[in-house]
Amino acid sequence: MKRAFPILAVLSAILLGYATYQGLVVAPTEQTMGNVQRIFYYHVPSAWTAFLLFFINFIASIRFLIQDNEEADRIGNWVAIGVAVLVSIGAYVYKPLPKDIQPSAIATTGIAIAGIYFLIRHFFSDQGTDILALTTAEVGVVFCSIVLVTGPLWARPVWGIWWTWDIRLTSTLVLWLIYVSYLMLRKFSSSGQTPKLAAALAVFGALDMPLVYFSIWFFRTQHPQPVMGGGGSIDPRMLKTLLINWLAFLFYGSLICAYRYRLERLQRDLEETQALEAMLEPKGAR
Amino acid sequence: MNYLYAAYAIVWIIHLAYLGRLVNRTSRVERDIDKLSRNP
Repeated sequence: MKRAFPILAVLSAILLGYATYQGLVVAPTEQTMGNVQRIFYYHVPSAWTAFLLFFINFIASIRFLIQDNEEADRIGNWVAIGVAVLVSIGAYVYKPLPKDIQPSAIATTGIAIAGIYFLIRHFFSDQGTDILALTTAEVGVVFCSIVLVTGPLWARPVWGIWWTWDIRLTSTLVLWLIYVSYLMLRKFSSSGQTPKLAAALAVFGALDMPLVYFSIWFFRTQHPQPVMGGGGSIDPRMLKTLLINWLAFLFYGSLICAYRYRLERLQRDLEETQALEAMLEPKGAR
Repeated sequence: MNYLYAAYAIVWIIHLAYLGRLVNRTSRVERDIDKLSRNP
């Protein structure tokens, strides 16, 4: 990873540069909003990336809480399979679903939940799950901060106000605050139980995610309707630019997560060695 | 147009600030590891 990192970083920079060029120059200008609509190419991909990272944090936190208990681990596997099956079937059978929500989007989400669960179960164990949870929360907060900054910068010229206490905006701010408190808990608490407490907080905090995501369907809100999976329409060139930007941010986000993951591992190894050294040092040597 | 440039600039300020913090922390940790391995 250490050797491949500079190459991947250069690739990421090229991809981000290309995506920005697409967003600022190539994508057509929106007729009503004008150029300010181009903020959308940074705002929406950042929101999607933040959601994905918080979601991985949620699954990693669950894994961290149950991984040491065989019975809980087995139940966890069946719950993940059950979620995938029930959500996939339910999406097509449950009729009161708002007609804007496409069943395929819900079914894909159900399968993705199980997929991410088993990927984390397979590739991460012990400390790895905890480090993954910490990493994704931290990088997720960075992306969520961008969402909260770019949103008002778009809203001011379009709505005439910086902010409104609307359900979508407020629940996003609450989500950001939950994960900031998660990071503060991890930074300032020295108890040995901190990772478990933080994991429990992350599991409860994740309950805000469906509220943020579905708020625009279930509540009257000023926030624009979704452009994908929600029946909204978008110019194909704009959609292409949006997806290129998401790909670029996803690539960059993954790279930053890998870098942060390695840093946390090094930090923990160092602290362990220093603690061991302090224990082995003869009394009065200092 | 100003709002657009402000948004794009702020996004990169946030990303670069975070990246800078990570690089700083990594070099500090690597320095400490290096020190530790030189004086076992």
